[in-house]
Amino acid sequence: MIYIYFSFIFFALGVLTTFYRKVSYIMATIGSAFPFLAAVAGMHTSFTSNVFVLFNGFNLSVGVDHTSAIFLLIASISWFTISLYSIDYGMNYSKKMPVFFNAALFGMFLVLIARDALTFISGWEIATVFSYLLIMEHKHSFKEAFEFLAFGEISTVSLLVAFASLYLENHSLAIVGSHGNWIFLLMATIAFMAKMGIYPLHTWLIGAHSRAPSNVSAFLSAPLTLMGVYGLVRVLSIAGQPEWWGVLAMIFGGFSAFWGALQAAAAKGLKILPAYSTVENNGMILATLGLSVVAYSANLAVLSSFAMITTLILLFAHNTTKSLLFMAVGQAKEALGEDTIDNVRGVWTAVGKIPAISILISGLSFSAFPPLIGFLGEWMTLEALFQSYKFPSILDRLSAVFAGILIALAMGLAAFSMVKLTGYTALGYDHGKKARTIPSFTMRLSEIILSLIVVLTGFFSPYMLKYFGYGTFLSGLFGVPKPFLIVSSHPVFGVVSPTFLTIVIGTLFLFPLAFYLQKLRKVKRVSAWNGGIALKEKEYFTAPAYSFTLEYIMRKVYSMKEIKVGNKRYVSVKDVTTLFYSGLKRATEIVAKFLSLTLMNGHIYSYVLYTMIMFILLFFLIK
Amino acid sequence: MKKLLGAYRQNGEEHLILQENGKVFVQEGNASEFENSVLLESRNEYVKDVLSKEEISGNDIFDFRYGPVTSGIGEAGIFHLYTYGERILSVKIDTSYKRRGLDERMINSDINDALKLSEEICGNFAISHSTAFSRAVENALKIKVTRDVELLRSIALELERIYNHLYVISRLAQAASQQVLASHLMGLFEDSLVTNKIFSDSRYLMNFNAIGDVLKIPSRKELKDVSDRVKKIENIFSKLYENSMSSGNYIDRLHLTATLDAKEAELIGLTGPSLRACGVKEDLRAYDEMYPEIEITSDEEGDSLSRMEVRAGEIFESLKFVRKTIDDLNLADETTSPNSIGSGEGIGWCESPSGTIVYHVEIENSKIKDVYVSTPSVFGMSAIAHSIVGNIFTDFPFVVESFGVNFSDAAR
Repeated sequence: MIYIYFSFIFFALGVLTTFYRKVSYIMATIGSAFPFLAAVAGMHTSFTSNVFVLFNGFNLSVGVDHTSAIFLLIASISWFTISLYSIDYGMNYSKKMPVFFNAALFGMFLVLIARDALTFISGWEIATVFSYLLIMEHKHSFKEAFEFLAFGEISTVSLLVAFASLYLENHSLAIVGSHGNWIFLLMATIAFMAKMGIYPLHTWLIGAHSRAPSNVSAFLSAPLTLMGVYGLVRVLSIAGQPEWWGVLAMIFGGFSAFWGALQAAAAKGLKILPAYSTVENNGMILATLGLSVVAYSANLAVLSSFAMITTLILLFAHNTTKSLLFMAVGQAKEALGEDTIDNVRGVWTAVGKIPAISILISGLSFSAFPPLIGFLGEWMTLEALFQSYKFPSILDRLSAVFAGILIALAMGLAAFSMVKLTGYTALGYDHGKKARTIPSFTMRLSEIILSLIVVLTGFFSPYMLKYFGYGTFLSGLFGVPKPFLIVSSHPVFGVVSPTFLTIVIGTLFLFPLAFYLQKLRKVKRVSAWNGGIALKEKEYFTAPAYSFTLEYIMRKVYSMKEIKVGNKRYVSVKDVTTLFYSGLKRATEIVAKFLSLTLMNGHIYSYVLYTMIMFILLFFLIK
Repeated sequence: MKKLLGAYRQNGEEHLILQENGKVFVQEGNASEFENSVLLESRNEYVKDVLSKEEISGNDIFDFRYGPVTSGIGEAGIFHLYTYGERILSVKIDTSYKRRGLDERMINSDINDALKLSEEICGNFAISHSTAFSRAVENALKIKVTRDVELLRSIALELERIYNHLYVISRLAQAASQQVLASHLMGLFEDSLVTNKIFSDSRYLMNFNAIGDVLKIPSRKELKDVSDRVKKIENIFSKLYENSMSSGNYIDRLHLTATLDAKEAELIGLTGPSLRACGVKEDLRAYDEMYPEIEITSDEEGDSLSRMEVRAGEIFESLKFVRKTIDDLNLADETTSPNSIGSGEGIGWCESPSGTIVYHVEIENSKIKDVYVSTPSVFGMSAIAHSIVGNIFTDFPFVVESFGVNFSDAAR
């Protein structure tokens, strides 16, 4: 418990020292290290605080068990590195920002250690409100911040209904050892899906992630959406693991993964692409969680367990890699003052090798390049889905196949979009724009740490599985010593060894590398040319052009239009989901205008009548 | 409809080279009254769509530069394709890499040297250029050319048309991955070059023309050989063409690709098979007494398929012409020795494989004082730039090849 208290103290110190921004972010960094220690401590031995009785049935407590320890461990890596990154990055923003930052970290921490619904929802709301304020730190981001808040409050209201249902069932708000009915599960699922940005509740995520300061984008995309996954795992343990939930999770997850990847492929914005990638990754996470639940309800314990560790590996991969990606592109964006993929070309030469390598590593990881952690996550996802033939129910099998097809497409599209992002930014030709010199020591340090984590956790992934308590999926075979072979089932269904794959490929690569290094001195470097002459600035193939073919083929899905206005030509691509929300907004405005002109038109009798009707409606609703 | 093919200044007056209803003539006037006059000013540097006045812009638009040394383009030249990816929004064609200034080098040179230079403008239109130049000089110096010489020139012109059209259709087949058809056509192309060699001692019909004469009179045996070979080409080509027209994959790629209507084509100044593919039955040969039985091939749709079909039709017509002319040819034993000394001004033209070539010359004491050369590729390139807009990158080879243009012809 001491780690938890230390963490509270440092977050509080971070709030108090807000006028000394660097000090405040250092406090946040130290404060984020303690949750990691708490997670390590709680991984095998649970611990809880004393119970604080607010009043009868409302007992407050915090603690860490095995489930929360895993999530805490994953989240704390992001918190720590994002806080470290913010020491330099935060100097570009106001003195209020550290208050919001520390408070939001505290809120998320509270969610992961809450043992009761009240503490949980308090943490949830703190994290939401302060994240809203963090988004507002970026100029002209009111709309996006408000949208985030609106979805955040939908999530909170759903959660309140869920917890009210939980209380009615158990006369207690404990979230460990309670029992929840289907209303609880459904409402909590909506709440957490909104936070994860699962289709169709993902629209907030795009604007908020792309407009927010980059440390906040990383914060929103990785640890905050992780809260949603944690919430789902928690409520499933309370509500049992019903088959219907698993089926719905696979369908929504699969579609979300596909939709996110599809939109990412067409994205032009530097941070819009990673934002949609979050929708995709969280979709895959939800689908594998659903698969685990379906397998559990079909008494396929091994498959259920494998799907669960797949969820955790995907979560770890997404959390670390997406934090890294947002931080690296954020540094490039800040240095170059540009926010489209096309305008942030040549990060390697213009901004620096570390952010360029970081973008490359994260892009490769999201493209499932072995041995990076993203490769393992995607391999496990497909292995889990391939085993859906074991489901006794045809509905379950069809759902898994449907999800599998969408996820496979999503993986292909993700590689497409990551090639676009890394190809243009990290590896793209420098367009000669001067980067602004900004203090970036801690930014680079945090990028190095996360890059190493992404590479090394992939290489040593068997140890991670073992540490998370899934050592049963480790074996040795074909000369690969135990525990370096990851198996997807017992009896063996599929195997992979990222460690040995790397060793073999690495060894084979050594010879051409040695040859290359030997010849390196003789290599003559010249400007890129095309057709015999050097490329001019306006002759470079642009990032939007890279994805135009896909947009054209899928023009109905993208609602793609080639626009002509005078002599201007451009391509318009929409996420059609936003049209639904635009329609809803418009309908609300019309109804509001109608009510204001009819019932609230200044006639006292009609206004009293309106008030009474609303009161009666609310009365029955609450009752 | 009058088409502006060129303009030159003489004694302070602007003279326009015009074509109307299959006739080429010169009249005083103002070139700027024609839509395509801008082409005459810029053709040494670039060619663009003369029917579009607006400069396309947009943040995502870039210049997809194709050339000057790129596989798929046989000559040094650049297609600047302005696009936001795949869709071609605007085109500017840079001809400057192939600008050798051959027309300028003709000035002050002897007319026989200038004749050689005219052949070098575009190797695969060698006989067309040299014939148009010779006719201009012959008109200027009032040299009477014998019927035999005219007939031999006409055979050479049709042989040139045959191999050029075979090449264009072969390139279109290659672009559509019809490799078997393309290979057979390239075989026929080679056969036709060998036929040229027998007829003129040159695979590309070079050094055949002379002022008022031809430099080689093929023997009876050679003419028989040419006739037999032409017959063989006709047999093979008719089968290949029939089969190719039943290939949906091939036809689909050409159909409705880069469509041009007759009015647009005439405003651009387009001539030759590309104009006839738009439904305009205009061919200079129809007014040439050497071609009494010529049937003008035309089509209505104005797309790449129509252009290919017109060229195929012209191959058949040219093959028929060559055989019939050789059969009917009764060469006189004596040839004239034209007097090519003197001064004067004249215009000469001919129907090249891709349209009208016109030469206007001023001669002073057997030396070229001034020359103006109008080439069909300038207008063909402008037609490419206009008709390709809205098409996608993969249509590019079908569009470019179907017009049968050459950078060397445009830039001179």
